[in-house]
Amino acid sequence: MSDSPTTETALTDSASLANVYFLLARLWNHEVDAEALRDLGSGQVAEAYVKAGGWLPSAARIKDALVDDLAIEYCGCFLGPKGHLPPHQSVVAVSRFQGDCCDSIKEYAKLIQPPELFGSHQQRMVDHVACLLTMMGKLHLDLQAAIDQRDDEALGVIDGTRIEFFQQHLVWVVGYCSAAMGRAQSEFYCGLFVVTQSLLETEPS
Amino acid sequence: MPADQTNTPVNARRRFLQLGLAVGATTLAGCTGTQKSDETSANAQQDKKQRPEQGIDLEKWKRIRGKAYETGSGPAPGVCKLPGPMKKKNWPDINKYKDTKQVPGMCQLCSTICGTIGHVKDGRLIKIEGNPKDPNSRGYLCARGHAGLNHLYHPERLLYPLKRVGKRGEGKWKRVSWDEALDEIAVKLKKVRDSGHPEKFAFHQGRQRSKDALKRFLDAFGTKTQLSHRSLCSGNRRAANLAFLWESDWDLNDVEHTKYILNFGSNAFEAHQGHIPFASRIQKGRFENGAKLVTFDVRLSNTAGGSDEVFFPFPGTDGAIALAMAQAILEAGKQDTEFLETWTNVSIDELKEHLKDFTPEQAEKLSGVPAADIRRIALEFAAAAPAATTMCNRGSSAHLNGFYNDRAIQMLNAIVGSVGKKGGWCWSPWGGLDPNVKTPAMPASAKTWSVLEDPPEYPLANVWRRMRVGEIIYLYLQQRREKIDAYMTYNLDAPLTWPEESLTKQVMTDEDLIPFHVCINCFYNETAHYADIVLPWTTYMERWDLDARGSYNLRPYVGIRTPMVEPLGESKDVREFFPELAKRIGGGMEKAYEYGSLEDYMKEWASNVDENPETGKAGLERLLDEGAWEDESREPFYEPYNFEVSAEEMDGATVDEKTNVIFKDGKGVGIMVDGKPIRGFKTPSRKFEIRSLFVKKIGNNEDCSDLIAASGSKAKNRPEQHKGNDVEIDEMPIWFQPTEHKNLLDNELIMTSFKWNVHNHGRTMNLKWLAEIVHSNPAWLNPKTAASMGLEDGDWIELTSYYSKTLVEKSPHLKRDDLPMENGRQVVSTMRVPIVTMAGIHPKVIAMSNSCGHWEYTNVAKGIKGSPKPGQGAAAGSDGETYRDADWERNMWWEDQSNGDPTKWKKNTGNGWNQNKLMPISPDPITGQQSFHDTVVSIKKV
Repeated sequence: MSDSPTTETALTDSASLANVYFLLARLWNHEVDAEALRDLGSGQVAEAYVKAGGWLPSAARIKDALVDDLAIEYCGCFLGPKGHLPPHQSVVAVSRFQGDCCDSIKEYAKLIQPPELFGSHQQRMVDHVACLLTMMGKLHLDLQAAIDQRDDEALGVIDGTRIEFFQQHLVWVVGYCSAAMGRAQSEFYCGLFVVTQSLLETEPS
Repeated sequence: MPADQTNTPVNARRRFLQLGLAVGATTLAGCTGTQKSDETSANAQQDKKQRPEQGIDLEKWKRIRGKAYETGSGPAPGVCKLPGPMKKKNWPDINKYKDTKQVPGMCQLCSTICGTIGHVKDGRLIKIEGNPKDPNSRGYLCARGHAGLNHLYHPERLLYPLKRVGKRGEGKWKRVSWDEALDEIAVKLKKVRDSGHPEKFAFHQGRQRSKDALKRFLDAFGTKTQLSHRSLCSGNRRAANLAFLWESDWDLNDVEHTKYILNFGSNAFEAHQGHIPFASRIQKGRFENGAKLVTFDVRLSNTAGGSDEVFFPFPGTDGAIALAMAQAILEAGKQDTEFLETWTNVSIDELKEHLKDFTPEQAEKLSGVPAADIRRIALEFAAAAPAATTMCNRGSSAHLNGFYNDRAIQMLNAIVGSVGKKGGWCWSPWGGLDPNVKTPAMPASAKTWSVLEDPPEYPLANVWRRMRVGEIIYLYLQQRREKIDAYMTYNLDAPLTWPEESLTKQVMTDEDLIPFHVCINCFYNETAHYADIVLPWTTYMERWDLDARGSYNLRPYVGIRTPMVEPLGESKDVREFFPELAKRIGGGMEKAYEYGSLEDYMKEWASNVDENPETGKAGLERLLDEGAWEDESREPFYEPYNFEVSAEEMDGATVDEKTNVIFKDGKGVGIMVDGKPIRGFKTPSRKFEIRSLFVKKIGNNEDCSDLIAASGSKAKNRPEQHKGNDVEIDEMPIWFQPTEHKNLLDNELIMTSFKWNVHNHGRTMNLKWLAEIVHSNPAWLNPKTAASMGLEDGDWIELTSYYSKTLVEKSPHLKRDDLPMENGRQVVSTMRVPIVTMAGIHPKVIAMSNSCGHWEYTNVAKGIKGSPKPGQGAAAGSDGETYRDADWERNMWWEDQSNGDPTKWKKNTGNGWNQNKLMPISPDPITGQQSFHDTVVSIKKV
């Protein structure tokens, strides 16, 4: 993982990174549909996503069958019913849902106030990777706001929080992605794990 | 390689910045307003309006930085950081259970439903304890109950509705929304309902404690095809009790106040339906009241091991021993003459005549138990009466002669006069909720008939209570004796817990036989594997019920099951989605749910719960506060046959001069005894019916309307569909030996099954705290038997199981010509298992526990730590690289590393074997009870 970026770099970076976190959160959170695949595969997004390590089907391949295959793969990766890797920090840490880490995440969420991308059940299961990525994205947005307002004190607090939050709640995702990569059957989900892992490795450790 | 494509951190970051900018120009990120992130601060104010609320409170942000949840290098409460056998787990924070919210509930990890208290903190359940206010379980809770936490938070729980994608049984699924799932189910069920044959929708339940919710849905739908597993459990015991009492299928032995407990094969300390409430009272009886516990069992169960005396009889001879004891008591004149003459429908002379051939010497020849011991114990039992009681359960009842075994055993209580006495053999009419608690208005009962629900060959399966004959369902479907169009399973694990695993799997796979299968379950199991749609069910810690069992306090009560926490993921209870499904099916079904909200329903249901004068709380509020309510103003149900019939009841009543039975409005209400109107027993004779004319007549499809009327009960004649299916049932308690048990060859043994105190049959092997204690089931063999076959501890044997000759003779309708012949016997299956030698088992018995051998029920149940090989499927929560779970990663020491090679297998490893692979479908010809303990197997060394 890289060193902490300078404020100067962050001045232009944070909002962009927030977008990436939100995008990845969406892909982790639910199955990809044809529209999302087409949006991803269009123009600059496609080029940048592939450059970041992702994989996208050609427009001609985006059909119901592929979307269905990816839905099956999503299920096999994240939901089961068997042989899956539940993308929850509690499962990683203590091999069960709703471990102690959820309390900490909820405390962070009170401050970070992430956008409500998810249903009520995910508000209960806040340690899902998608939730954590969303919170990380929101932290980057807040960081950008502090930068825009040239509020150095806020910038320091938020950036410190971002580093802490990352260390406490996202470091495990890097290892998770390694394990998941080896098991993914599709290039799309393998790519998602590569992109996510690479992104997290750019965060300050 | 161009400079910007190298994988330096700077380049990686640049690539993500490019991606972020590109994404910002789309709606892909799901958030707006970030596309101008590279613009100057002059535009920032305008941008902020489009961004998510930031709400930065700097002081709060500063404060939270002090709160750390360490997963990297520092310690975290309750989390073991580093794998390694020497690493000790950090003890939980001393304040962990301080200030928890305590929420009452009722366990459902076995059938006993002990009262519980959940400790909830920040929306998470962190501990389960027994509820001392539960009148039946009194605060005791077994290992299973504590392991509810494993159940609730298991990482492989089903959290979303799934739809099958590939072939049935292939294991390919995709997530669907609840709306999609319910829409599809509704279309299929509506078609069945509109066809005019609603009975072709079969609902198949495993352990269920939401009787009202299931009945409401099925009655509203119009199907009576509600299948259960009761015959796999206790049909013979229930039928024997009903033949004597007609009032309760469940005896509640008053062991707490007894002096003598005569146990025939019951394993109350581990697996009895009354389990903890019963076992705790047995121990109180023994240690506070000086009671003696004598056990007859083919195997040294924990109950047998904890008894004062133990005998190992030949399998299925319990009835022969009991009849010999009866004979010995009468021979010695130690019977309770007054009770026999007043309250039974046979004379002492008749009894003596009936029992004359059932001598202790004869019983010794059959059972191997010395005649002198049979006599001695019989007289001890009689001397302790009336504070003396028998107890029995599957050990004596799960046989082809089980109905007679249990009648013989229970009759002993009448002979010594302990029936209904304090410390004796008791029962209560309240098997469920206190009758003061009224279920909100229910739809009219469905009136359909199905051969699956009421197989006409089994006369006592449904006449008193609907016990059904669960084990024939898949056989009858395979033989196309019934066709179903839709099948809904609920908390069921048929392939593992039903006999003949291979037949069950075959039928469940066949889409002609089961065209549409919806599975409702908390976990993906062997049943879900063969479903078309799987619906994620809430655990018993996330849903509502009012519940109770027959209480050993001999008076009714009510307990409550409440959501201790919000349901995980998108799991839902039937109380939540059945109304939705009914609305979609329509056609009036929805009217069954016009009770308002679930909260309204619960309030109405609990409205008759009395006020607690100390707290001022009543109804649902009181139950939520205390968890259970027992009406202590009721006297315990002792000697109910002596209750006087009130003057009001006698008004307009008539007395039959011949029988002294009191009738009112054509129904029996009591009996005249010494000129007084007394309630008596709720049988046709109003006496404890040692001789049952009813069972003989009903077996032969004769009209029993007069007997039923005299009993005043809701028993029924057999329906028209049963005509031509006559079964000879003896009026008296007799005993016979299954043909195949006579003259066993040297290498032939009788297989028996058993349950451990930490497991139920099919639903607990996935719980790691329990699986660590018991995870495997090598076959128990007597050392002498092993030595005679050249076997030693740890050797592997091949078992071959045979179909019953008794069934060939008595139940030809089963038509098992499909089973191959070998040396004049029909082979059911073969299986290889290791043995463990145990002195505590009859030499002609081989025993294997059930619960083991799962192949589709989470990785803990399968005994798999995790696969390091890509493509082989990772074990949720157990991957060595990713996960750091102390319990699995390093503590699942029992993983079998032998790859199926018996020579490399190490003792106590693996997840065991499904014993039901060997068991034939073998219903008792009278009641349909599966005879789990009769199967003859041959063994040879591998």
